[in-house]
Amino acid sequence: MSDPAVASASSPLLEAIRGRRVERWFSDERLAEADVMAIAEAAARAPSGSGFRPNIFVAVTERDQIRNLFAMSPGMFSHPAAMLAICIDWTVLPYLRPDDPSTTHPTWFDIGAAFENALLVADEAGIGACPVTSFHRAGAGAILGLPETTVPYVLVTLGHSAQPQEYRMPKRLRRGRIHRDRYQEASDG
Amino acid sequence: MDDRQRTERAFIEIAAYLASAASLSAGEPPSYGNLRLLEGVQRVLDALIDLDIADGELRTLASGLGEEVTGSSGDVERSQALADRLVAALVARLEAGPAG
Repeated sequence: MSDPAVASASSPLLEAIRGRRVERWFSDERLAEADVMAIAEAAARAPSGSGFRPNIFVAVTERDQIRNLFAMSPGMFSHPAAMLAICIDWTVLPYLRPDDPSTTHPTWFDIGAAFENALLVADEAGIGACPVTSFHRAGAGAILGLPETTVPYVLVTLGHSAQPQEYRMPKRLRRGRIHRDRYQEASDG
Repeated sequence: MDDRQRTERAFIEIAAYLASAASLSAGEPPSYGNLRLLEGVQRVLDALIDLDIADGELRTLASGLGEEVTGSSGDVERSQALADRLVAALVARLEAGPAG
């Protein structure tokens, strides 16, 4: 039987995970500096494969910087109040080749863990967030002043929602994704 | 920043967006998609020239762009390189701020 534990378990963190949504439409309201830096810290404290911690984070709140990054980013739908750039400093991992996925795959897990931490802490603070990967990396890197060996891979957009709460899409956990002990094919019945 | 500079900045932001989208979509279907986006960059720069807002640097960037865009049709590497070069030039322009 699939998904046996979904309905009964509960904890503040699990409730936060259940309630979190990606936010793509932001109001003009500014964010508190402390909230932005807490989100950055949460991302920087994410687990890292073999403890290498190759991620570099740039928290962006300057309006002109946000406008310039927005101009590079087809994946952003509205100007956020802040952004967190999640980058990899490839000099930390000299034996990896950025163009070879067979050697670099742990770094993608690091990035995923970092932005999930950021999304959860943002959600707890009542701040909307969205991880964006559709942007011009070299252009964003130039705007952020990054050295060529440090590449931005995700821009987490942050801001207060411009949408009424009722517009938020319900998040459903599709049945058949969690299994106990052994994978079981779904039955038609 | 005066009205002319604000207009220039808004146009450059749109051009940068189109060039970024062209770079990201190079090699993706439909095959003419990034070509159309590069044509969009050219149209934005042409509009800045028509409005008599473009300075010498932007006119140089726009000069011959139409032929480069047409010449890169069907050549993923060439159109990607053109898009990346445009992004770099437009980023430099955004960072420098509008000409006075």
